[in-house]
Amino acid sequence: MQKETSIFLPSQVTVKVHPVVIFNILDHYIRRNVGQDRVIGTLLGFNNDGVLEIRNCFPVVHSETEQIAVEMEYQRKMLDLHLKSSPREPIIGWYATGNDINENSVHINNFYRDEMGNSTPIHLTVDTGLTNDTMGIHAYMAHNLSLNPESSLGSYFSQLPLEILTFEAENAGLESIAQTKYDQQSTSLLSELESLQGSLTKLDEMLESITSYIESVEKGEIQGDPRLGRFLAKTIQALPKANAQVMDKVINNSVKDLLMIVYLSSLTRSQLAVATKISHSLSN
Amino acid sequence: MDIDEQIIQDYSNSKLDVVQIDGLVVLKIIKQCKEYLPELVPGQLLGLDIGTSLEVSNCFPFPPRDQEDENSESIADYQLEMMRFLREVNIDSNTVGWYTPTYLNSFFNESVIETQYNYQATINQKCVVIVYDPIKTSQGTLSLKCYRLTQSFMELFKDQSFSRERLDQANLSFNDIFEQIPIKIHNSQLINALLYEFDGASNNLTNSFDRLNISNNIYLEKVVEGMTDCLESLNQELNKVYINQRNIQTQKTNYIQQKFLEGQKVDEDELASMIKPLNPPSKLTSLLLTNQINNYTDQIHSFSGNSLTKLSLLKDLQK
Repeated sequence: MQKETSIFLPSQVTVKVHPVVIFNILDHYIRRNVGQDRVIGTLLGFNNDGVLEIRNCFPVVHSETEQIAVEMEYQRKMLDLHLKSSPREPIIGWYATGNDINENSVHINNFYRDEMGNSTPIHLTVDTGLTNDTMGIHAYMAHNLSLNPESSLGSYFSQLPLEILTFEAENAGLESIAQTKYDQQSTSLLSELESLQGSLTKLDEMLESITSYIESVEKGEIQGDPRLGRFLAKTIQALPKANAQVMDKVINNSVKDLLMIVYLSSLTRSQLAVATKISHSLSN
Repeated sequence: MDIDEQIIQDYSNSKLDVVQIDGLVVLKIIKQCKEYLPELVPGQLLGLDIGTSLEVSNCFPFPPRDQEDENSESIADYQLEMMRFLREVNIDSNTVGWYTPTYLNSFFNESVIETQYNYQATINQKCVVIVYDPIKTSQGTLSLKCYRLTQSFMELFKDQSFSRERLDQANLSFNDIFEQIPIKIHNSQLINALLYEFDGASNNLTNSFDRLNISNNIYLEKVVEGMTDCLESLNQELNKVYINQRNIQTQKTNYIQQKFLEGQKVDEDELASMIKPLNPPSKLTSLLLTNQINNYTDQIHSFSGNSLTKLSLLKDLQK
């Protein structure tokens, strides 16, 4: 997930990818056949004025043993099926696992260029070999190197800036999913109070970090950063300075409202229980 | 031999303790339900059933219903074709249920029951429905629940009879329609490595302070409105029952008067046989509405407990 700009790009192109795409690629890699060292697939999304958003993907059957073979018929059928359920996500590129781009990548890229009607496909690589103890995710775009229009010396894959893009709901899902990092077995879904506790713990850690930084600056141990200081001051000024009595009144009113709602719902539940008991008594 | 016996045994066993979902399925459901908002588009779950647990490993959405005429046939063809293609890349292609988004957990209706009954009766009796609430999830906590029809309700629904006598004999309460099954999330080691990468790259990825928001009263208002609507519907059902009883009584009175004018005596057997059996209102609707109201009260209690906790924290912070 490095950000690097290439001089070959005529216009600035940015790639944003959703986590579900990476999850899908890793799931596909786990289910690969024996003897297959990398898998490929098709990326779906759209181009929004230079920002390429990858929203979905599906695996494609291929083999690279003796000669490159990609089942484009399979790819077309799967694309048709996906377009039925997501018409606004056309094909924008392809992905591969592993960290290298080799001669086969050029051929596969040409396959996808033909499928996309001579638009330039995006290539996404996910380093499933964990080189340097990190899972590198990179996005590329191929450019032709040629001395004259008739011939071509080869293709150069230039790297594009890549960003992981999540919505609020995906954040909530990722937070629940991320519990499995610490527990090697399955984990239950977080209850609301557990989520609340997690958020408060993180908030407390952030506040402690800020406090320790300010104390260090005051003691002269660390050279203070003026931008950071201004940012903190602005943040503190954003807090509303409400009167203590007014705040107490607002809080008490909210507590009373909530207690009233809880009482009404308890009353409703009791009424239902009584009705059920009466119904059973009458039937017996 | 052992595997085949195990498969046959798993298929015939209807006990289900836990549903294990891959993280990929969770993210796919969130993405697919978000795309189609405000339309609620369901989808299919794929996986395996092992022992008394169900493992969901993939899912795909059904196409939106553009044309009503060729709806069921095209969706069935779409399902079969999608599952056939997914099998070629070693993805599990066994159907283990379906998922549906819902608003404020208001999904208890007859169409959901019928769909779930078809899944449990024709495909696998361990099939489940996963209910996803996008409104609740947008507040910062993933809302994902797993339900299945109970065995007793399956037997009742098979006969398609919801008369009062049958339901009274079965001693069926509103809690006995669906049973909730706990959900566990499972990830492979490679995806766990990816999650560590996410944490390292940008620490703010899983920081979510939306649930610390105190002014979520709009959500509470919606839930209370939903409960009020259900109570009104239940009242209408009670009115139907009352009108039905009154009609029967009116018929009896008219018949007795007619016989009395003709100077004949009336015995009970003749009276019972002459009464036209009006269609009694279905008790299933009342049960569903009662179940719905119970769900709303659970939701209010959970949400209010959360809000009271936040307000207590705010009060202590104020001092």
